Amino acid sequence: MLFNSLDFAIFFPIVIIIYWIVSKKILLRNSFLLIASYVFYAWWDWRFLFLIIFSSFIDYIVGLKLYQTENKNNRKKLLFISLFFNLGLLFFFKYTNFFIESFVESFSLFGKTLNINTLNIILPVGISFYTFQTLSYTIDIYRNQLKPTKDWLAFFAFVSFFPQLVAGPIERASHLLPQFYKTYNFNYKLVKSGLLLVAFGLFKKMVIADRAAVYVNEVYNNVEDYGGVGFTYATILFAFQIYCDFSGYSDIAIGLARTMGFDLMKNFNSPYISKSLTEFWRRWHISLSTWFRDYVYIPLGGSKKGKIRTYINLFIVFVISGLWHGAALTFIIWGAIHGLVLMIEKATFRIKQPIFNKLGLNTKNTSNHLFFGIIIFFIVCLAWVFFRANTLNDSVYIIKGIFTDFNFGDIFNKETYLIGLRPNEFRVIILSIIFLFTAELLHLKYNLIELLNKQGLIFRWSFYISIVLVIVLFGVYGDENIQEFIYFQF
Amino acid sequence: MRSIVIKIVLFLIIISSLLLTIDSYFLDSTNASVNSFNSLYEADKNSVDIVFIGNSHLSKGINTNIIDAKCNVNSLKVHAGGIQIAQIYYNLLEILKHQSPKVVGLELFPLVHSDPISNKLFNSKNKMLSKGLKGEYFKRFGIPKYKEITLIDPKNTWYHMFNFFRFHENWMNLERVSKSLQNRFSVSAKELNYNHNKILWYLNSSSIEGYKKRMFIKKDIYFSEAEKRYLKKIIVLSDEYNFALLLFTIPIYEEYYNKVKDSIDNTSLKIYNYAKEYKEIKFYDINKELGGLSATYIMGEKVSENQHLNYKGMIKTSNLLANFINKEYNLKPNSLYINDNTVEKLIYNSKKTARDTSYLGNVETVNAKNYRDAENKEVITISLTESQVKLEGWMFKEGVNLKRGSKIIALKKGNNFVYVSGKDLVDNSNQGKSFEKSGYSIRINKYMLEKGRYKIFHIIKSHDNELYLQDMWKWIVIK
Repeated sequence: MLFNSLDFAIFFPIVIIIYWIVSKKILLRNSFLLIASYVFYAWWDWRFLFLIIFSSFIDYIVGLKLYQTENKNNRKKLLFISLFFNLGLLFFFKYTNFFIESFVESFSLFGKTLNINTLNIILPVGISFYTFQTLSYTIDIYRNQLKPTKDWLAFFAFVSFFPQLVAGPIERASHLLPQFYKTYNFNYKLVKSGLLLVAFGLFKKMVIADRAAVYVNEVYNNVEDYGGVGFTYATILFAFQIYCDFSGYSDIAIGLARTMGFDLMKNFNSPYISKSLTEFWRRWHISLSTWFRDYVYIPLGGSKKGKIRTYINLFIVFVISGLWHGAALTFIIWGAIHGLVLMIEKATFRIKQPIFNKLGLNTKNTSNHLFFGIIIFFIVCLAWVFFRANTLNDSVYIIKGIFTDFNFGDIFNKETYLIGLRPNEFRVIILSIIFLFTAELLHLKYNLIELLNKQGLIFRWSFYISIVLVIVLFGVYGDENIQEFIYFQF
Repeated sequence: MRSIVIKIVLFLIIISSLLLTIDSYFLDSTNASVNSFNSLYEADKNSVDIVFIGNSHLSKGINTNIIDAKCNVNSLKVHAGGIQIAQIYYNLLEILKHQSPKVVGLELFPLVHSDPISNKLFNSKNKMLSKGLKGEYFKRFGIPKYKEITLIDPKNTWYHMFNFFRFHENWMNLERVSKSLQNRFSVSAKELNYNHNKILWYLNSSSIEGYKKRMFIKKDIYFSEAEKRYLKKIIVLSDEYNFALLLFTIPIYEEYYNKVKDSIDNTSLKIYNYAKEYKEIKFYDINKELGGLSATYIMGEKVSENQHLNYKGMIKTSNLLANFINKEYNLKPNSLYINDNTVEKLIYNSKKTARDTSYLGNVETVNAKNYRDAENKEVITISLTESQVKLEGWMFKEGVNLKRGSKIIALKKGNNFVYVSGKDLVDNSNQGKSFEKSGYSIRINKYMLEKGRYKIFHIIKSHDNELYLQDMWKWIVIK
């Protein structure tokens, strides 16, 4: 079920009403949440529901067993079982074809042809998210950082919690699971702020991301028809599309959970204002980057095994992160670019400041923020080319086009900046992006929801009504236009 | 908790009311079919005596102003392009929510048309066949709309139910939206429909040649079982709502008609015979009576099995139908709802009226000939070699500001053909120089008029839609 669908518009009000009716009885409430979450998932394909149940079952049992045994070998074996099943499922559904293709291609390099067909495998929605969530639970118990739960219902509800089931935020059991043991009182302000966040997420997704997608899809799906300026515009628009798409989803997820009294972790924090790539990753997909930090980077040794090893660890983490996003070389390169730039940032971290001091540059003033912000945005966009392009050849073609086929005369050419869009659509995208970033910048200093609550009734209600109307009128939807969230494919 | 529920309910009520209020503005009111539905909603409840239902043939074939004028009734036509009988049935359901007509006239082309959609009505999955944007959207929120949409697209019913969802992206073309809104607020939907269907061109020679050369398949012209089912449903409604059912045809192009004559006449007759079994029904086969119409009565379109009438054809057909209604029905209309303020009402059945001395004006020239120079000072003859009629003159009515009002010319032939000018009449500053904006000029293609003697009338329409008529006592004769 998509958040931006009519099905969900009917599903959620029913769920929320029943939820608050049964909320005082934990057992009943968790049972209801579990059923609702399974219905939500089964709406897409009921067969894959068994994977979630299976994954939940394995980690629930492994968690309990891990707690009962102190024998190191047995504990390792138990952890292995969890890793084997969770990563095994992930590997099978997500990477089998990628490795078959890579295997066949590598043979062709030696002039040999292998006739191995790829398998017809459907990627279950959200598998990368919920396997990481259950894995973190088992690993935390293995590390003695968490006690397992005996409440299977709470655990199963935690794994399948519908607001964040298919695209995160990837929650830690230590944060989310205990929330299933509590009861909540209906808090009007909290519910209202949750719904506002949902509306804001829908605005990002339906008004900005899906409309930008028209342009981006046209250019990226027909690369040979366009030149450097078109590629540049499409890549910049993709940067906003993917941000609004994914952070929009996270906002909706956090907002929905909040309406039921749950608190999900923040997943995005205005990443495009970052002055370094390190900062960018502290602001972008926070739940995944912290997951990789805690469960991959630190186990690899983190920064405690010398400089060279630190750089290598960083690089490995980002290559794996790329692979997590998708089983394709383009995603690996995307991860590698980030890994490389982060390595450079880390390597130059200590020499950068003295150089700036010598040059008399104040790194804290606005113009410097802007300068470094633009550079980081440029690097991020360059990496997005690989993330979005359909093939490696396409991404190389686009990068080449941006640097060698950039016709300045096309910058203000309507035919270039309106590809697939009508002039008013283009205006709506630009105005919405300006509105979004103004709101986000203000939100860094002030709590906008609190600020809104302090306004008079007429202003508040006008705002609520306007945001609904803006989504209804300017959003992209309809039987042919509805777009899935980009991160559903991961 | 109570206050929260009240707040939520209030919020939902405000949002829903706002959306429902603006819902109808998402439809393009430059579209004739949209206006036909809007005219239904604009009419007072239960004020209409006769309702005509059909598809684009009805739209282009019947002028309700003529029916109203000649039959002294309040009539309405509700149509949408390319719709089939099942959709017409739902249109009728929608009409009956608002009106209780005494007569419902069903134009038979949707039942006769050889198009597979019109014949089959439903596909193998029992989904109603429909061509794009049709009557389902033009209806207001309600049961007929819901039922029709669930048959056409059951998966996306709620998306199609609300125009603010379905057409929410109209803002992309603001020029069109502004034109549509301007239309909506300037004149009545009935008048918009009238103007939209006033087609002043006819079949050109290459189309005529095309019709001569092309062979048309007769076997697809038949009265299918599915069509029977829906015609019966309409008959059932006629009993339930107590209205008389009139079946009639609108003429098609004679060249095409002659090629498929047997099939069309037989199918029309079969339809009538089928309907007759259930109810006493009147049937007027105008097409058969006229034997189709010649090229100058038909709108210039590409060669196909689907021809529409132009303004000339519309005048002719509407007059015939009005005469038939007068002869066959003894309607007792409610005088409260009869609109006396149309040009047609003033001119059809007009009696000699005293000359209004505050109404000045003259028809100065016809095809550059002055009436003074004509052999008969009151008549100018348009010779066989002339292809157009160009009238120049002026009109002025004391107390009416012509900057805000408009000038109209009507040419009346007997009581069965009146040509009323529209956008073809333009200001002419060379005429009536003493009175600002009083000069006019109009070019009428001679073939848009029938042969015969036409009396010329001047009409001034004031800003508040008051009409002033002046008989000019001048004639033109079309050879």
